[in-house]
Amino acid sequence: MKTGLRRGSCILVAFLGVAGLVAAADSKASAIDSIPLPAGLTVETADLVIHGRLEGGAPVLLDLATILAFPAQTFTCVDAWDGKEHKFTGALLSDILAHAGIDKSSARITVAARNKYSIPIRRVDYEKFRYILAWKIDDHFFADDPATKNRGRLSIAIDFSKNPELDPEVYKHQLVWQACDILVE
Amino acid sequence: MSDQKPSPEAAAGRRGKAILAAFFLVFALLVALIARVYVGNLELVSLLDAEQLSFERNITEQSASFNRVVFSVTDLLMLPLPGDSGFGFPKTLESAQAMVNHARIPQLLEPAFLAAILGDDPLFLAERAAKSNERYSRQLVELTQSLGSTRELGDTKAGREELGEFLAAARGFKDELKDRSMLFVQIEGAYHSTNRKNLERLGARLKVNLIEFSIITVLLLAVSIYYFKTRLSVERELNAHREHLSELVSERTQELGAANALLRSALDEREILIKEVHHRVKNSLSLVASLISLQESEADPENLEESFAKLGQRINAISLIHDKLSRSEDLVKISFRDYIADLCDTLLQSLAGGPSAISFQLDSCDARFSAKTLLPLGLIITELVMNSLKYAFKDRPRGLIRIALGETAQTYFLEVADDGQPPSDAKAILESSSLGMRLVMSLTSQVGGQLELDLSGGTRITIRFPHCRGEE
Repeated sequence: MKTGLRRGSCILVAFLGVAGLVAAADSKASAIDSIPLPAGLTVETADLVIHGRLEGGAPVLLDLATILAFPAQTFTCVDAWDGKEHKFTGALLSDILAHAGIDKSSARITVAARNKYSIPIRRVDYEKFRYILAWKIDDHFFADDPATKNRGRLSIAIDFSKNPELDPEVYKHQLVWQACDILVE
Repeated sequence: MSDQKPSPEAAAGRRGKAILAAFFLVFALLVALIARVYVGNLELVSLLDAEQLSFERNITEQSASFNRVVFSVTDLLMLPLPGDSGFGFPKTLESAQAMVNHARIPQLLEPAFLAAILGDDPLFLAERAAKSNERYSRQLVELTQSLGSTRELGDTKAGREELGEFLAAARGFKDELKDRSMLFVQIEGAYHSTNRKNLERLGARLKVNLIEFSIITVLLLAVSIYYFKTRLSVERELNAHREHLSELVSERTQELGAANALLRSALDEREILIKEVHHRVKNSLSLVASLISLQESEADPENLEESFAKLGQRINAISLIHDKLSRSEDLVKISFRDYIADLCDTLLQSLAGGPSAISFQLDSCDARFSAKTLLPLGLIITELVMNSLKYAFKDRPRGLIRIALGETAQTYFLEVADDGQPPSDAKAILESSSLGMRLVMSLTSQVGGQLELDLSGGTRITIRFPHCRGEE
């Protein structure tokens, strides 16, 4: 009798746990879905333009305020460019692209910077290794510190500490500063 | 079907050969493994070397050429533009031509080469290099055409306008060069990353090889130790067998030596015996001849039959000696008791017509004598018994003849006695000149004995003779 009760309790706890996880995922999805796309932006005024293979077809223009509404991710790792450890804060690139309606068959994107630098990123990479579009470094916006001002308002960051299989010598070229344009291919 | 078991030496030898063969097989396998690993490592190292050499030569050449193009474009774009003060058409045209010439020289990055070198290509370098090459070539063609047009138009207004367009295109070309420069940097980074991974792979391979070599060395060592240990054991076993065989041979040799010595001794003994027999026969025959001669001298022509009978008995005593000698174990010594018993039987058988109930009593110690001693004793007994048979029991139907042989520490005493009628005069007997008595006296003397006569209650003659004579 006692064994039956214990088993029943375990099943209930497991069910509640799974239900909780599903609910959390749903709540996150619904939180992202509820972020309104800003109106009145142009390619020139937007902080980020997403275009290419989107479900809606039309480019999606985002400003920093909208991007800040995405669930923030934070990690600390050694920056491949200056060799120092920094804390990065930003939104998952995959969340932003999903919100923009990226085509499911898309295999890569090309992130371009205001300084004309551009680099392609594989979809498997930015989803698996949880690339973020960072807006803060060491708890301040890039533009607030002269030392990080040249990184623009948005910058790609990768958590190398959690992904040792990524060779910084190669992947540091995907840490695009002044990121402003994403072409979905 | 043979059930013969293989000898221990053969089994040990076969085992040794099998172990040796197994040892060489394992050794050959290990050598093959080492060779395979060594060749694999060499191939990997040479491949890495070749890749590195090829890539570095390629990238170095391209970087040098690329730098010349960048410098020439920079030089050109630093010159005054048409309409600016200091603008010189020929100088600008010359600089433009130099830039185009430099731009033609660099060998373009080969995407296939990059793909082979870089392996995984997360930055799409090969594809971007291909696109960059395409753009570069296209722009170079445009620049070349524009330069040709400018040169044809000359230092005219149209020519200067064309030169202006050329310079604008050169600015775009410079942007392309920037991208290309970045591409070079990324390719170098990716190459070094790949190279590092290869080196790590090589390091890991070498580590595995080190472990393999260690295992192989330990295996070789173990196999060698096992082989030599087994070999040693086999050798020890063989040595033990050899020693055992040697001992056996030695034992057999000793036994054969002893047997040979025995045989030689037996042969010598046989030879001596044969000589002794011949000597004995000669002596016996001489004795017989003497007896015949004596008997002849005393023969009573009227009683020849008795004379011959006595002679026969005496010769029989001699014959019986030879018979006993031939049956004795050593052909030398004869049991006194056996001989006398047979002799008495023979004497009894000769009593046809004599006393019908004469019995013999034989009391003898266990003495054995040589023929030399026994023959005189036998003849003495024969004479004494014949004498008793002839005279002691003339008027009596029964009688007893006792023959005894005793011994003390140094002497034997032979007694021949009967319970018949004794002769009246002992002295006469001892001094008798009869052949029988002379023979008895002579033979007693021959054995070194002394004769005693006792006539109380019959006739008893005792002969004492020493041991040394009797035992010869």
